[in-house]
Amino acid sequence: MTQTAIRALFLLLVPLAGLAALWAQSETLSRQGTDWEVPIQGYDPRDLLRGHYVEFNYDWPTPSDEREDEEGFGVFVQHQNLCLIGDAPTIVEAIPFEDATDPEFERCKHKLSVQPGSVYGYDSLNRGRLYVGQERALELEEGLRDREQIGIVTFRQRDDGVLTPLDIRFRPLTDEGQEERDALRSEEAVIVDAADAAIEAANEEADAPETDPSEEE
Amino acid sequence: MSARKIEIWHAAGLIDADTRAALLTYEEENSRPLALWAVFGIGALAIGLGLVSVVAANWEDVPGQVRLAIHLALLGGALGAVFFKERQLVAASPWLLEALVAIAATLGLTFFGHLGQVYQTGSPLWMPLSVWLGLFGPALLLTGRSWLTAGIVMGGAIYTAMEYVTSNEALLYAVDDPTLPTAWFATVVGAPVLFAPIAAFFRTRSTRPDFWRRLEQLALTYAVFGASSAAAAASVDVFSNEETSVIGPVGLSVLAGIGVVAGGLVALVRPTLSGRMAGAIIAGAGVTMLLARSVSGVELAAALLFMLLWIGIGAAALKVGWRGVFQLAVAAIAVRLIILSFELASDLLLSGFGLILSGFLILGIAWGAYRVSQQFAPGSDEEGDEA
Repeated sequence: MTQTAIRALFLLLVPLAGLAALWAQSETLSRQGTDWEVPIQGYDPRDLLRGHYVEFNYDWPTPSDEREDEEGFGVFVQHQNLCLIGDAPTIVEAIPFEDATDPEFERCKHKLSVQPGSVYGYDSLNRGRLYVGQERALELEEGLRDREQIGIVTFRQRDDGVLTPLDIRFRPLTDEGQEERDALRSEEAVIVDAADAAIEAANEEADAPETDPSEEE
Repeated sequence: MSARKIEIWHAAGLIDADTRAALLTYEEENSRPLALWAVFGIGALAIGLGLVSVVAANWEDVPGQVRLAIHLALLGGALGAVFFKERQLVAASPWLLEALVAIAATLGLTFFGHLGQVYQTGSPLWMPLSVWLGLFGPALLLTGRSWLTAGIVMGGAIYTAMEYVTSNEALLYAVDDPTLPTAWFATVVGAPVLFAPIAAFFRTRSTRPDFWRRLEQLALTYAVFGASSAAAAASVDVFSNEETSVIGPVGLSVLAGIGVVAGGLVALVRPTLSGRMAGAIIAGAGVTMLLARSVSGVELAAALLFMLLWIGIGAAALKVGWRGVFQLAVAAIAVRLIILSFELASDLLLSGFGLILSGFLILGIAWGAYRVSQQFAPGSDEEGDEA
């Protein structure tokens, strides 16, 4: 090869064709798959906006015994694999599987699996992010804070189990959802009241010994 | 130099009228209208920033594909200019080409982030970094002129290696026999040092010796920095608890091997005095890596190892005549001596008398180092041949 050919190869062809190929690959991959919708919650209400993306938690419609322990308290599950059941875009149920080689999971038509190599690693079925412009991000942040509505993420599920968020929209809470939220709020209120009472009691106890000696004198 | 000064010298009888005239003509021909350039620069900067803001403000309304196309077109323009106009650009100013290559490399790197933003994808940092290094490394090596591109190559290689190892290190604890993966990770960490022999080879055979000299210097610096860190870490006993990791016995042996091989190759392909000494320093850094493990936890031995490395560097600098390197070596040894005195007698600091004593010790070492530098430092820095 001549000097010019080598230079053309490494100065023009390799960098430009390489990046163009990566672009084409991203484009093709982004077109594959089925679009679904899933409700989300803001990941951290104080810090939703991180640079140019919005971060959130997925609220998968998993079977109720997977979401609560025996006493009815919510439990945190780090999902490894999910089988989506329903007609796209509506997920009727998302069934978690520990093991991707589970024959039942392998038979599943619409699979999602954690991507250990992605930004969220083994948490990538619990958390996600959507890159948006600054204005849109502020809008979404506001929307996610509003307790009268819930955020719905549209995502694309590829056959190899990869999940790619596409968009976020908002839906007003249904009556059922409102009840659930109010119940949650009253639960929170009970807990806060109990905590306040405990603090008060502790303060009184702490005050007590101080007053005692003076009374003795 | 201003014309006013020349007039004063003439008036004082220091220079005659001919010299004055010659000086004034020379100054006029070679003066750079700095103020004018500054105004042009500020104007260009304002326009550039304005363009960036206009684009940024309307970013959201531009479809992703169009944005990516613009990004790729800008990159193509920069690379095209480098490819088709290299000779003219260098003739105008070597820095123009250097800056253009650096801009192209940066545009290439940011393209990965841009792709991730448009397609909502993400991957661990080492992946885009290593693909970028593969796509743009050859272009940088083919066109680099100075320390800027040399720094991008070396910095990119080191950053990629570190990212790769830190994000995959967990693998070592998941396999039954971590020997092979450890050796592999250590090879990745040590690989940037191999730029030294490559650069040494091209340094005497290329039309861009400055670039290759800088690259060799950076690779040598990386090796010496690694060895110094290892020797410093040994004094706080970092290594005895490390079995399955890159700084375990296997990893350190591999790193030492890379240092020795790279150093030997540098001496082989550049058999001048400076080449042989640079090779010896890199090989010495490799040996230090290995020894650091065996002195781990023994404060005195660890300090001696550190000083031995730098005494070697100082001796090499003295032989070749690298003034800056020699002074750096003396300073490194002096600082290590001071730290050693505190390590060995940390309770000195607890009494007033001890404090006074340590003050005198520090002053003594500093004065000694200064005297050594003054007395023995090579006369002038041979800029063209510095390690």
